[in-house]
Amino acid sequence: MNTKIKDGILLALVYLAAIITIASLFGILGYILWNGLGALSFNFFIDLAPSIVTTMIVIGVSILFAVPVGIFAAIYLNEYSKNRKIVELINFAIDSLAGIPSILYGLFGLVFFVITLNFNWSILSGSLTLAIMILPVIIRVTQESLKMVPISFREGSFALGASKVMTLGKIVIPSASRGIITAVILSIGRIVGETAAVFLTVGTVNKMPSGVFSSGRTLSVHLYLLVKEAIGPDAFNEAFGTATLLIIIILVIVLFTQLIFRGRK
Amino acid sequence: MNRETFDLALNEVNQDIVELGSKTIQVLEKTKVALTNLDENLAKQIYSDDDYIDAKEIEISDKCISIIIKEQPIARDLRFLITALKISSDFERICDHSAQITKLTRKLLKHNAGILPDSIDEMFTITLDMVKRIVKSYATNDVEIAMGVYDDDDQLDKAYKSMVKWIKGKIENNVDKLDEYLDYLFISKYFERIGDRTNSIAKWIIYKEKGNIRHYYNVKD
Amino acid sequence: MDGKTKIKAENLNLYYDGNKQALKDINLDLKEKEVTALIGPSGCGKSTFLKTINRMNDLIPNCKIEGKVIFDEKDIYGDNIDIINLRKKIGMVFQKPNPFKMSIYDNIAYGPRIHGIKKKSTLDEIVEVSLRNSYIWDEVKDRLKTNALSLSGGQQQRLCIARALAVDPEVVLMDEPTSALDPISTLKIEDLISKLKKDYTIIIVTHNMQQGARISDKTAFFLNGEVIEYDLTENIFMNPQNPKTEEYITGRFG
Repeated sequence: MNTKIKDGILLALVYLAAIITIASLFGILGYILWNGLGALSFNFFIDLAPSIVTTMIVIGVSILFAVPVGIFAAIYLNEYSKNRKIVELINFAIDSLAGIPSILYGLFGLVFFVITLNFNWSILSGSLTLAIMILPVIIRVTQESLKMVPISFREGSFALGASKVMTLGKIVIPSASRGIITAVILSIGRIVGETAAVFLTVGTVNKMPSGVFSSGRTLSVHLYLLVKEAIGPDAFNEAFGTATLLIIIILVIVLFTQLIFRGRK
Repeated sequence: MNRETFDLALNEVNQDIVELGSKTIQVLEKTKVALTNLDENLAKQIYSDDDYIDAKEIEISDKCISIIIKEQPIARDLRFLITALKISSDFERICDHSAQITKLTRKLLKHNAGILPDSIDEMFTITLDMVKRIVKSYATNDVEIAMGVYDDDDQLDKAYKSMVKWIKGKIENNVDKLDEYLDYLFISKYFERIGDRTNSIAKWIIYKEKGNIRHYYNVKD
Repeated sequence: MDGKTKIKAENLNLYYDGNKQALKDINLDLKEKEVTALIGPSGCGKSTFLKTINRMNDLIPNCKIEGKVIFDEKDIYGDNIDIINLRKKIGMVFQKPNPFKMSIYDNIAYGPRIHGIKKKSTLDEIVEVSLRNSYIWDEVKDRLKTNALSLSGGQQQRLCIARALAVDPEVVLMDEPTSALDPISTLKIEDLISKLKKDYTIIIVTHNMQQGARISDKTAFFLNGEVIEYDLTENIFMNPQNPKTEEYITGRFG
């Protein structure tokens, strides 16, 4: 077979893969929006308000716990640790955490936060569970973006007499911020989409939360219940409406975070 | 050796200079023979040799300049090229002077039935020897020979001084032959200049080998 | 050689990973307000030596130093040496322009800020003076707030020189500062170096022989971690004493 034909086939496969990817994305998005947009109304928002608020608080609290821990862990691994064995051990632990199915996090959260620490089914239990779950992503992505900061930046800073802490705080971390934002956005996506772990730790109560110790029902859990258990007469339409709302929330969060960080540049 | 093209080009210039040197010796020798024998053909050869050497000097300059542009030589290579530029022009001037001496002496001999004063013959012998030795010094990179050329220059100066004295005496007694004696003066001056040129060549050979132009002056002092 | 000694290396040896010797018994006497060029083939130790002068080699793990580097009559490898202050006095410009990912103004102000200068008017003045001394002020004065990475390579390098000058150093180390630049930018930097010479002691590593000849007062030739020859630049380039130096500078090396 000559090279031209080989090239042609390869090119066709590449295009096919691209088309399948784009088509599935827009297919799913389009299908959901097509079916869901109609369900959106003022009353619908009012009905879903507790879930929306619960979801937002869960996102906020999880990020609040996970991001500082994740970033500091990544900085330690990348910039400070000298013992290669310990680094390998920690990296192994991170990779293992990343591979565990979310239902197991849910079980752990249920046993540890809900029962042992007696936080009950609450936003706090759920957020702590989710924080542990997203930690690997934040550490890994932050580590990669720290590695991407050219050594020449550090050299430039050290050569001016800056200490290591100054160099990290003023040069390295700001330069890695884009990667860190990506980690946060990915994490938000995982939190919003998570069902099993949230189901077991936050609970399913459909009421407006009064604080982090309240139990609640996130949008994803609500969606799951609508479809799986068909609560209410018009459950299927409501499910599409909820899904549409979820997509919109994710888009808004992504755009919002990007805007905030871009504005800082 | 990493710079083959460069080294080939330098070598070519080196050979050109050696050729220029031996050609200059030939011209001087021919000048001597031409004068003793009053040989018309040999005189013509000297004029055409002079033209050839003029052209050769320009050719060498072009080659040196082109190497400097292309290779940006430094250290020994740069000293070699500067020396080549300088001494090719010195050799060219020596040949010019030879041709001028030929012209003047032929004019004199025609009037004088072929008798030249001994001092001129002496100056001839000294300059020829100096030029021969400087060419050898260049070809063999021998600084000692170049330094020795200075001693000869003193001899040449002596011969020049006694020639001037002789001319002065002649002019006082034969004012009607003033033109003739002025020609003698010019001839001796040309020999003296050939000596200077040879000295200059010696200076640049020492520079090329020792790397410092001041070595020459130290030798002189 | 005349002139006041600014930096002096005494029997300096440097080893990587315990046994690999990168510098062998270096003895160099670098004079105040002169440009010294360090030349030599890759891996000869010239950049390593440069990094010993502001202790940037501290960043390299398993690097062992013997001997002394004396800066203003103090051994910088001795006790009680404030590295932060040392690096403030001995600035460095790198091979690849490395402006920080921030505005032109912040790049220059970074150094003064970490050394405790907070007053806006003082910073403004330092920024302007440093940029003027690096002959880039006219090119950037109207866009001090734009990101430094938007400048051309040559401008970035001059900015990096300005950044080094902003902390008011006495010595500027330059590690092949023009090797990543085009010829015109290179000439601008060379011009700048010649102008900086009257106020600063400059030590520059260069692979460009002609550059060394153009801008330096003295030249040290390094080979296999040793200083083979150190002399006036004119002598090194017209009449080197060591045959190895001659081989290297005339391009007949190895």
